[in-house]
Amino acid sequence: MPPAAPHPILRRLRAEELVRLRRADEPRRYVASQRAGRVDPNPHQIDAVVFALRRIPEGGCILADEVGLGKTIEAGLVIAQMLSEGARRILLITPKPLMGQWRQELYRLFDLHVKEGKAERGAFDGDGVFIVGREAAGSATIAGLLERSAAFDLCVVDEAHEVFAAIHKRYADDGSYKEDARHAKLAHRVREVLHVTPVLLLTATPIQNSLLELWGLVQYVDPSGTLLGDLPTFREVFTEDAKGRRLALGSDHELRRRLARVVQRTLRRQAQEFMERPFVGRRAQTFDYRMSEEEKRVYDDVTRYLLRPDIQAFRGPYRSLLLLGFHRRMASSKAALAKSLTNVESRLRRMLRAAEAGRFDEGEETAAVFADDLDGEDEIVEALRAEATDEGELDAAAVRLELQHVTALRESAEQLSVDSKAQACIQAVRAVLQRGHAGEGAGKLVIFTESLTTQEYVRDLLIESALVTPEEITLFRGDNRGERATEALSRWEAEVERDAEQRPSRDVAVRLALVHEFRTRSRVFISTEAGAKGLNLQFCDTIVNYDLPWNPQRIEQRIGRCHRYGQARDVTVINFLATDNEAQRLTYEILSEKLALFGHVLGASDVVLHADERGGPDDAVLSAISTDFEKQLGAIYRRARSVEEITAELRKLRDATEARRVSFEAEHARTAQLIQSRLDASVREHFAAIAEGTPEELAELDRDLEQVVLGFLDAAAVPHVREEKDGAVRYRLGAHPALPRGLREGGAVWVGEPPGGGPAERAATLHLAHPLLLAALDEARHATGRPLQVVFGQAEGRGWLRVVKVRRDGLEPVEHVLAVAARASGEGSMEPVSPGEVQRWLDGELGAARAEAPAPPEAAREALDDALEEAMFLSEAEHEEHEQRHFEERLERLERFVEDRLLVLEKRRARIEEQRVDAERRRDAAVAPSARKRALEALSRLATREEELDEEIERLRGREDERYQREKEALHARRYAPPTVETLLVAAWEGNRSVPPSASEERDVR
Amino acid sequence: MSDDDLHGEAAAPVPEHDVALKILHTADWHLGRAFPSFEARDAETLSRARFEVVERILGLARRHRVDALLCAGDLFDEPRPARPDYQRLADLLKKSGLECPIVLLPGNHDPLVPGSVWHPEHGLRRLLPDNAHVVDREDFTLSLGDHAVIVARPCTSKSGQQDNALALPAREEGDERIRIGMAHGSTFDEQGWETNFPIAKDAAAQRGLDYLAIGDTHAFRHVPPDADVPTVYPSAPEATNFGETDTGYVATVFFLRQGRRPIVRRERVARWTWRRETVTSMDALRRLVSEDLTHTVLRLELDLAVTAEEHEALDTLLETLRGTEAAHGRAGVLQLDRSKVALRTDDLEAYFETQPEVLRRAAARLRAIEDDGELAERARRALYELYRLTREHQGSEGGSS
Repeated sequence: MPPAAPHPILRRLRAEELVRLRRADEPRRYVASQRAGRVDPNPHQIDAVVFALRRIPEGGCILADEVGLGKTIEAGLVIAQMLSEGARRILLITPKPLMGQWRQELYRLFDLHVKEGKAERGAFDGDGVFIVGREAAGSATIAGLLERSAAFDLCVVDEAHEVFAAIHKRYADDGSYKEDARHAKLAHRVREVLHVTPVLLLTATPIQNSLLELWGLVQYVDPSGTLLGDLPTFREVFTEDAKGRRLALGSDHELRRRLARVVQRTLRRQAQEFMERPFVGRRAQTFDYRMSEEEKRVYDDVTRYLLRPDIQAFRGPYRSLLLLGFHRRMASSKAALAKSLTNVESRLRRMLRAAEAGRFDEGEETAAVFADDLDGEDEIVEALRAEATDEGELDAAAVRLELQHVTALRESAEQLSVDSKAQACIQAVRAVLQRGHAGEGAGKLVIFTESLTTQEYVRDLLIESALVTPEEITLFRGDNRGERATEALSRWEAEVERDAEQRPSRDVAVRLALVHEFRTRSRVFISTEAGAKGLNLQFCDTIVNYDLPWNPQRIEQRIGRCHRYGQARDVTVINFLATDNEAQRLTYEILSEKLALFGHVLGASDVVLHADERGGPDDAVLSAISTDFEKQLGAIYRRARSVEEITAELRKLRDATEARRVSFEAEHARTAQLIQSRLDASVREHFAAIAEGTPEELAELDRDLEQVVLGFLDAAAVPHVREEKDGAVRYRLGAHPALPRGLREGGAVWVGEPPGGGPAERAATLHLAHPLLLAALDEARHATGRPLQVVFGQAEGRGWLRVVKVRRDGLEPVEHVLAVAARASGEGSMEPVSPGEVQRWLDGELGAARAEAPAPPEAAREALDDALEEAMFLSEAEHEEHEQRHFEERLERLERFVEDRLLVLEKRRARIEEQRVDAERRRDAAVAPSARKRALEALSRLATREEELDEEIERLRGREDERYQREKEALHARRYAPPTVETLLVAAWEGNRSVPPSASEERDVR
Repeated sequence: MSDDDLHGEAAAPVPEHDVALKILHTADWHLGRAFPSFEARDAETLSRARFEVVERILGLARRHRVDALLCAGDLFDEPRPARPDYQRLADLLKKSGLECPIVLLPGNHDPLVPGSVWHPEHGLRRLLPDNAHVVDREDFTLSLGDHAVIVARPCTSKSGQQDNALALPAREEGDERIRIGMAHGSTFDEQGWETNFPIAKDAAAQRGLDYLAIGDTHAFRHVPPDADVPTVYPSAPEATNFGETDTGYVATVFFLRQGRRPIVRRERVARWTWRRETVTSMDALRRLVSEDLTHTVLRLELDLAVTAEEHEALDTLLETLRGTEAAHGRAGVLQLDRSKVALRTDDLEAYFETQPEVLRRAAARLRAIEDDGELAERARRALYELYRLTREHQGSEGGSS
């Protein structure tokens, strides 16, 4: 005989209790999001999710954890939770190079299929998670598509500070928003798109240069605009200077308090002890080499050629862009140099033909010269493609002469017999592989280069040197086509991704596949810049910079592939340095010493100043200095006319960078405190409590999930076997039409975390939005759709039962499921039963009577209403306390909104008062009638102004302010909204202590 | 045939008298109270807070969908409040959206005397919404449907010795309704409490009430805590003075049926917490400043001696607390008494040693009269001023160089 299913009433009660809306800080709510994903979040991540979920109904928040604390996971948890609670449309805006990583992570950890929003009609229609590049989101086309599509439930913006903080530039001095300003167009368009969507901003460095940027970011997450007030007020109250670089004296505390409402930031030192794998260090290792005379000559000749002011090959608007690109590729490898020279040669040849023909069309052709070697450098390529063509006058003779020179240069480059850097690289690779053989380190390395030519060159080099076989090398580039990639993909599908229905897009799949190949088979991963953002290679502990990008943040991103969340070993960063190349040496010195990019120098005793506990750079310093650094480096190469000039300028840049860093740090020290409002000790205590409580909460959730699902399986008579395996529970399900799609032919689900489970097992773990749970909920709802009959083993008498869901709106809405009952008490009358008694009945045995019940009579309905009143009264106290606290917090904010303005007005009033005293003095001292007249006029003007100000102050003190009143009324309306009641089921009950529950009877009822 | 009989006949038979009834009980609003001992703007804030809390109470009544809102006296600070004050109350009641009866009881601060705001002839009456009921007669009775009745008795003078609760009508034989009483006065047999309009502790039981809503004392109290019939002071929803404890609440009361003790819950509605603090050391002051005082009305008495150097730190801390022209203060409202701050100048001897001759001599002369009883304090002040000016001067020089 099959086991008895719980009575439908119990099934319904339990299912509804499981999915009802809870407060963000209730453990049950946040452990639910953990189950929905495939991650074991750290306490600081849970804390961030709690913060975000509470803030989202209010407009959103800024998650500003220090780099390396897993903001993607935090955002993923929030998204998963919202989706499981009924959100349908979510938009992700990220820097273009990070799109792949986001799609990949959300798929890998949360099973989410992220759709890439392209510039085509309908791209953003329907339900789902959409991703779009930042520049694209701000483009007229896509912004238009987004605006026309249905509203989103949430928008997540990654690296939010980079573009969006500039929104403050669109505000006029009087605080009004400039619809058609030149500045911050991108931020503007995105703002228009988002106008009512809650926003989650992710950034490790919300404060960079100016407090106004911070103000800008807050505008996205505080749609009421009351937290920091309008821009002029904010500027006056909180900043010392108009540009907002300095914080006004004495305002730290106040600003910190306010920011704490919308910004959550955890520091590495606060999170460290709760992480399974604490942060590891970073060490620098340099392989020095000297160029041969021959090499040196070629490089110097090419450099001199590039510095010539009358250079023909690089003309027009892209002159400097192209030159800089050349300088960088030249430093990449011999092969890249030769390739670049070949390109220049053919360009000159075409120019010559054009000069002879009389016209030269740049555009496409220019892009073609370099685009084929630049990978992951979308800005340059796109800039080249997009710009208009330049038709300049060409001097055929000069072009011809230059062509001869370049041909000679190319030939000598090709004829170079030695490549000293390549030798250094072989040395480095050998050392790493040997260390691996000796059991030190992972025995794997990632080599980064900016150039596709160099990528292939290095691969060939390593194969020729017999250090590795071709199979032991994985190439990664923007366009991962080719046999090897396809092979990797099918292997990955076979080994990891068995579930064909859940395939991610080919792009994401290939990325995952190549990383999988590197993890399981190959030893060297050679990647262009396309892999510098977005790959997770934390199983590898060595990165090699074959060449160095000029943007320090890019270097940091490369290192971040390995030196990241999840890395178990210290990470070694290998660079090559030509000791006899002064310019290279200086650039390296700035990056390694002034910016501390590479961490502690391996084997050297000198202490690297300015390195945090990870031995990496300071996020804020790096992000503040890096853009300028690249620009300045560019300017040097653009302006210089000799190699000596370059080195002299680089020396200056080195000193300037140091000075800049010191002054930035001094300024930054104070402002950075603003977003680090939480005390270490209390944060740790809080994290410890989360860490301690979570396993138990998860176990309870799992127990409840199992109970509901098991009830469903029994009720629907789905064949199932419960197995325990290493302390985890698995249900094997037979085929059954009542099962949801995907399980209809049978399958297995896990309760709780499967032991050592791969992705397939983890996907089968029960959570609140799992199809099986949804099916159970559906079944329970269906089974209780009409009045039922029930026999309570613990009750006496007869009467009616009603189960309701009470939604308590307010500042943070919750739902409660309540069961109430009425008992017949003599002819035709009914009395309410106390909530405690009803609970006892439900905890006891429930049996089912055969028939469906009629609708309850009037007297029963009234008594049930009264019983409900009591149950509601008894269950509301806790929620009311929370609401009251929120309410006070919000009201205080609103009060401050007015008080800020009062502060500004009173300051203004004081200044006028001074002017008046001054004018009085002038009046009294005036001898000439004209002077006296002027003084009197000034006095009267001031008096009028004073009166006006007094009136305004008076008005604001009495809170006669339209905006204040409106916000306050809205707040009151939310806080004091009465609860709403939805009846879930009604049943007629009979008390009978002796009647045992009967499965067969119960099934008859259904 | 009496009114009651008619009433009973007209009602549908309700054999068990089961009825769910919810009321909100508040008192002691003291609207219109002025706070002359505070700075003008703070006084205004505190006066305004009294109306704001009424708004919150009305909101809460709406949220809980109560069957009646009982306001048990001292709603105004005096019997003849200024027009803007009573006008404002009327506006609040009108736009509250509450449809249940609102019962307004005169207390000893705003008794029902000729010309009083509660008098039927007073202008307020025309402004009140229809569901507001002023207890303007001694036999006030208001039925809440068929199942409950409110009986109330107003204060008719500023002080008196009669027990208004005991003066309420007793339950009549056969009256099964929930009976709720209202009176304003002090429960006289509580130790140390004033005895103006005394209320006997067992008045509620004696009069056959299910609940007695009283007002006067500003602290939330069940009097006595374990009485069969709850008699409750809901407290002043916003405190009126320092030293009051357990203020800032209302009472929400739930009745399920006659004869069963109602459930009373206290709910916080206040924005402000009043607090008096005497600080005797700089450390204690620093600790205080670091607390969250945003919602605190703070009376700070300084009783400490500070050196010249500490004096500056003291000023800075107090500025932080009070706020400056440029920054908000940390305390919501501050009342400062620094009359007991003593200045110590003994640390200045060393300071002036390093100063130019002329300053050193001036300082020495001042120190010489520091022991001179009458002039001592003045000399110390002068010495401190000299120190301060010297420092200021040096500071500005340092800054400009």
